[in-house]
Amino acid sequence: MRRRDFLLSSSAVATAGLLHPRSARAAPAEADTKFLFVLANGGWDIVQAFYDAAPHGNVHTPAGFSLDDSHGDLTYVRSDALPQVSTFFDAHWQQSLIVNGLWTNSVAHESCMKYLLTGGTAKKPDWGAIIASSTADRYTLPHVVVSGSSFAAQLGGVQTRVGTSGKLDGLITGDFINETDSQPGRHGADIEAVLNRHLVQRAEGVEARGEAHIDQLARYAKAMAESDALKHQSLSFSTTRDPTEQANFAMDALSVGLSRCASIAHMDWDTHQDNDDRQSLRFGELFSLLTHIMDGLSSRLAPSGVALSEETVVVVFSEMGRTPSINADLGKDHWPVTSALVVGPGFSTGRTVGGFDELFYGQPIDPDTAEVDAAGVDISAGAFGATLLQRAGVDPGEWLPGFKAIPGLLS
Amino acid sequence: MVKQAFLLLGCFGCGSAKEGEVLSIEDTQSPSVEHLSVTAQLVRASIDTRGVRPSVSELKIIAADPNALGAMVDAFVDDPRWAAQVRDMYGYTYLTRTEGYFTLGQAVGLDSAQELGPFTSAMGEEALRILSTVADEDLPWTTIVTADWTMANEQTAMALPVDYPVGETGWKRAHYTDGRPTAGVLSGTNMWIRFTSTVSNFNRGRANAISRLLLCNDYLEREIELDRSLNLIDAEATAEAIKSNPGCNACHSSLDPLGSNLFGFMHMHDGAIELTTYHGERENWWKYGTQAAPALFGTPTQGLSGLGTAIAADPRFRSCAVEQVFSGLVEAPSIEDTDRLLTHLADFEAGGLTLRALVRSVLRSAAYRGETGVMSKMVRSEQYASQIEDLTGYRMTYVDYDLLQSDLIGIRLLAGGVDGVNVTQAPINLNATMALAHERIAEAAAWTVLAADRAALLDGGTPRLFTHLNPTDVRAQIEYLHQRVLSHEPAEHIAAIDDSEALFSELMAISDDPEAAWSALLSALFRDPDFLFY
Repeated sequence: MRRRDFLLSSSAVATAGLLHPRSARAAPAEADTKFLFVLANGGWDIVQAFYDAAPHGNVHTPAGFSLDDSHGDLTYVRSDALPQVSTFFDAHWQQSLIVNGLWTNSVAHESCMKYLLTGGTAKKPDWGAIIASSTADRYTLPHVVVSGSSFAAQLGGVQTRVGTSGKLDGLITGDFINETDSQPGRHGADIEAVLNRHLVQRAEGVEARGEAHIDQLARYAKAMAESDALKHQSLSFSTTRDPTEQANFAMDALSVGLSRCASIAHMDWDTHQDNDDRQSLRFGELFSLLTHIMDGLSSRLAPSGVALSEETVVVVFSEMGRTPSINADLGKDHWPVTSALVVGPGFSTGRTVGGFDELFYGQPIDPDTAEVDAAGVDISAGAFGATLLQRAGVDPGEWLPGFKAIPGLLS
Repeated sequence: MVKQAFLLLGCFGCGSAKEGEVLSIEDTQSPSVEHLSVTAQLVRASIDTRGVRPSVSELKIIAADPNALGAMVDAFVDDPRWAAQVRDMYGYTYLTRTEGYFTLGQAVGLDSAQELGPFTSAMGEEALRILSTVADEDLPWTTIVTADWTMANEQTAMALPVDYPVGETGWKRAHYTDGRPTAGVLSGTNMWIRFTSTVSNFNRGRANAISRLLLCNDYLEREIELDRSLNLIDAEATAEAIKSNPGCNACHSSLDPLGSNLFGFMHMHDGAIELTTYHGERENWWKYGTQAAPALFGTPTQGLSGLGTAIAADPRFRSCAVEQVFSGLVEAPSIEDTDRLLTHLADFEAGGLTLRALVRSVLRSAAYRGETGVMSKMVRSEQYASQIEDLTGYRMTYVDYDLLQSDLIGIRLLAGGVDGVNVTQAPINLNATMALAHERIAEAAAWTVLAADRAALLDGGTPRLFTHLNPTDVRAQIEYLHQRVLSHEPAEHIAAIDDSEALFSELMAISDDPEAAWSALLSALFRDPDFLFY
């Protein structure tokens, strides 16, 4: 049985949906909420989808892009050239929260990425790893990273990169050996199981040398158990560089209870040349992907039996924005403020919050209402992350001293 | 004692715990110790300096005379395998082992994964080879930024303008032939393909790479407070702010002049010659870019060679070397104890600024030897592979290419490696994909050495691990494997050897095939906690 066998018939899920109309359903328990992170890698130009910069006058926006305010408090930028964006928001605006004016503090990819994913530049784990660690015992691969940047720091045991070369399936079955120069003998499955059991017991018997070693041995035992569990499930890990395939795998991993968090990346957003056309191309691809993800989440069941979309938060972000003006190569360079899109339960959805001032910097918001407020707080990457952690049932103070969650972003 | 729970997931039909049952380590584990035994110190030093386990004879010497440890560890640093450990250790700092040279490989006409794999791998090694050559030849560490030579092999010579001898193979000293200034790693093309710069960012990212790698001053680790009154949209105002605004100037006053040294490496497109050739005619482009004359933290530099000389003379260069070696060996983020830093710095300087002197100093330290609080290290993927190869002769390859060095055709990240871009920190704990990678490598290695040892015994040769074709004294063979593979002194690890003996019996009962049982047992030792954590 392969991936497709995990997908449930749309009729079954639709029936579940009829029994529990969306408006009557509460957000899932914090610890049950799953997260799918979609990273637009390289820095997106938010004026093509999230923020109407026309009132600024000095912010370059391609012709044909304009504000759409037809979906309640959710405003976005629509264009006939990018129907994928409108298609997405037409269908999912009630579950969507656009956060404008998100600070990532730098104009260097590496530091912006660290800010976006960890809240600062120190060696700390990313949001997915932290969230996954809080319930790590319930999942075989608590945070599965298919592509894009990841920062595991001390939480390496809960974060697993499965890669995009399709090699993991071969490691699970052992067939990868057949792709190597020598193909010596193989153990049978029965022997493999005996060996894994033995090694878990060995971890318990080793004389530990201090706390770090004790932790390593515990994680060792868990990794052994997880690797064995992977041999007994049918999910295919043959992911490639195709974002749709990666998204399918990520959703399957959440659906079968393999993972609580999954991360994928959509690449090639760094448009120092030919910005408008290349960003449009990327946004078109991205929003097609997001529509595919929303369909996929709706057509899969979570382990609890409800539609996966009812328990999954999709976080779509990019490590930086792009300069307001066009450079000599018709490109746009790096900008320290960006936007994010959050789709899913538990957030104050159906609205767009935050904004940009006359210098195109992020505007502060009232933390309780998320309305723009000059006396409010910045939407820093750290505060944004703290909000994700809080939604996930993790105390932000434990991981992000100095940052507070923004309650106005939560429902 | 620290209480740590094991949650067994019920994956094993014969497991010692029922599904979901939580076993407390407090209940099941032997008491923890807060120091490293002499044998453990020997293992740690051997793996870190040679990439292999200590031999049985080395174990016996230390068991008989613990005071012999110091001299033995000192000698490890003279081992020919040390140079590879230098490269691997610095690989996690320099982060040049990426697959970002893929486009260049295609540009020079390489097509298949079999061609591109070795090429991209070799391109990532240029700077690391310079470092390991300087270390291995006991040249002053300052040579890494002053050498008038680079390192090349037949792969990099396909793309780089170097005087590498046609028809030869292997890493050799070479010289760039495009007239570029010489400054050790600073002159290497691979550095500036790995650390690239957009035309509009004027080498600032590259400047930070220099500052981070050679002076341990990472601008990107600074918390940034942007001056909200600054209009970044206005190029002229931004340029002025970089000069005069304290918030900007704090970094840019030193970062920009450093970047000005590198305009000869500016490339305007990704063509092979454009990427690999030094552009001397662009050296003065800083006048239009950073508008800051080339300098190193206020000291004017005369070209790239002058920059290398200035870095070599900067006191931070030496202390940075100490920091990096200490962090690499002790796996602490930095030396917080100034006295300790000064001790190693003094040893470094007294040793003629050779890396050997510095490494020996750190290896002798109480921190490394586990006397001031025990850190527990996990073998890096390179060390896992080198241990296995030393014990069995097996390395996982495809068309002779190391599959742990590539994600393109191999399993580098899955096995716990870093790719230098998306993953830049070595894991400190095992995860599921690493466990699977180890399982397959261990399995293949065990079968390989079993077959090789059988052939050796039949031919009158010397086997590596199996002393008899069909060992009748199973216990003795297991004890030897524990000694050789896990560095276990039999008398001190009776319980572990008992476990292995019981495992062997169980494997025999399943397979009724001694070879299958021995290979399975050996593969388990290659995955044992004592093989991974040291």
